[in-house]
Amino acid sequence: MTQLAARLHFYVPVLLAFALWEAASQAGLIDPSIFPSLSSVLAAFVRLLTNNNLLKHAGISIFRQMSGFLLAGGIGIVAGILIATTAWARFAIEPVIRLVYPLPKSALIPLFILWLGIGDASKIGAIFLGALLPVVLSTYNSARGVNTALVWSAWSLGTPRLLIPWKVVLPAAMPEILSGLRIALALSFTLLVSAEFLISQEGLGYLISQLGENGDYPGMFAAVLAVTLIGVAADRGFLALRNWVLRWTEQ
Amino acid sequence: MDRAVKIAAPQPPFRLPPAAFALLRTAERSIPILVLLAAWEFATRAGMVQLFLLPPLSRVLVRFYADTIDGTIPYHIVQTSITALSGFFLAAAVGVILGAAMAVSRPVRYICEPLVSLAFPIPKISFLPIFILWFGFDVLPKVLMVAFNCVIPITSATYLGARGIDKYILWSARSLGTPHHKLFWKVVVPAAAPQVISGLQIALPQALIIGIVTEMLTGGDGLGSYMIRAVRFSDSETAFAGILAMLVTGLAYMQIAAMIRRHVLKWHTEAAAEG
Repeated sequence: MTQLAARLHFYVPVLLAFALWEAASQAGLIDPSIFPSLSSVLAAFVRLLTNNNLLKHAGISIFRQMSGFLLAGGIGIVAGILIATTAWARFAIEPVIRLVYPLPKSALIPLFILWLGIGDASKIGAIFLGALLPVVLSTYNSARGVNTALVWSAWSLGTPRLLIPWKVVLPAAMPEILSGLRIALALSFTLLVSAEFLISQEGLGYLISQLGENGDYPGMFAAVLAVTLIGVAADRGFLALRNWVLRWTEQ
Repeated sequence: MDRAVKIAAPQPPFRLPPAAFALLRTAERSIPILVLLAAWEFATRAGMVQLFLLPPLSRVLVRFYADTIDGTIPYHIVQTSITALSGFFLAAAVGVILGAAMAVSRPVRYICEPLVSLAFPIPKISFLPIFILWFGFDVLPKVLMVAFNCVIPITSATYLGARGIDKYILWSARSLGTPHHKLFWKVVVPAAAPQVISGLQIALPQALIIGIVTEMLTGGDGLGSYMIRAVRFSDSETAFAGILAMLVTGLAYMQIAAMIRRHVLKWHTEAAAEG
């Protein structure tokens, strides 16, 4: 309870900023035609929930983001561990990853539109490949830095050699892997919204641009607010998951 | 017996000169890349994939070369860099000042910490239509969008770097007679520099990502528009030439950033090597 109170107290300045926004609107300090008041945005939020299928669009967006992100996370961690622990994977995969890594990830969106069309698959593909590289590299870098004494101890205590990457290296590298995953999570949302802005017929990015084109600015702000809330919720959920996964470490 | 003989007469180990070793290492590392590129060329020439989806590498290179010679690609690289770097430096100025202010002032920290912590995970690109509504379709909303994305990691890296300074460094400087007004520039700034530069290095690729996305979305000039126009006209050779141009630009940014890091942090042996 006190923890909850402390957390709420931490966010008081955010509430103040919202209050300032509403007060400035009421006082006529900001032009409502391009900057609608908070109350009208909240009213529009409720309207979107009932009239514009906000939840349907949100569901589609979250499905695309989660599919791409989970694929990238799963494949990225396995690939990173393999590169760190086996010679052939380091020889074959690492140079390719290093070469492609500096590519600005947004280049992938048009590429996947070209390959997979304008539906779900192109968004999932762009998110997958964009989020994959940070996961692979953070996994590889942290797995490479794992204390060799841990590996030797496990070996001498009888852990089968094939299991060492998964039973020893992976858990030891987990804190850094999770930092890489968190970066990939934020990137996945950026790619999702960009791709939906660019070309889409559903999803929150589509909803935002649609409302903007119709001149429904309170609605547009409300849809942006929805994306913001989802992004923050995903990040906070991820942090809670991380703390649970890392409960054995001394942090 | 055998072993004793070996210990008695050790052979000097054969060592390649470092330059030759580095060359061999590069050659080894380029094998998988060359194999992939050869497979790309072969598969497309053999008609195993639709040329529209994946044009042969050689044709992409020809297009890249032609568009580079006639100045198209360099022009778009410059346009993208103007957007990305203006936004980046704006964010760097604001972020470093704000982060330092958060580290030294309680009221600033009280107000900014929750805002930065909330702004960190939100997909800031979703604000683009609002920025366009406010600032028009020209280069300004793009620059501000880039700055909005970059300012958050720079602020939090500066804040954490300045907060995390070892108190003993400050105490030693003071007891050795550093005047109070010089403490900030002589001690705090250098001590926080590795983290600040790491923050800038995280923000720089983001500047490029967001710069290119905004070009794709709002038109105008730059690599993003160059590529998206090609995709709209189903000109996949130019689209892939665009990807190549983006890769070259991204690589150049990262190399220059790493060079600057090594130069600025020359005195800090560990931090200079990272990143």
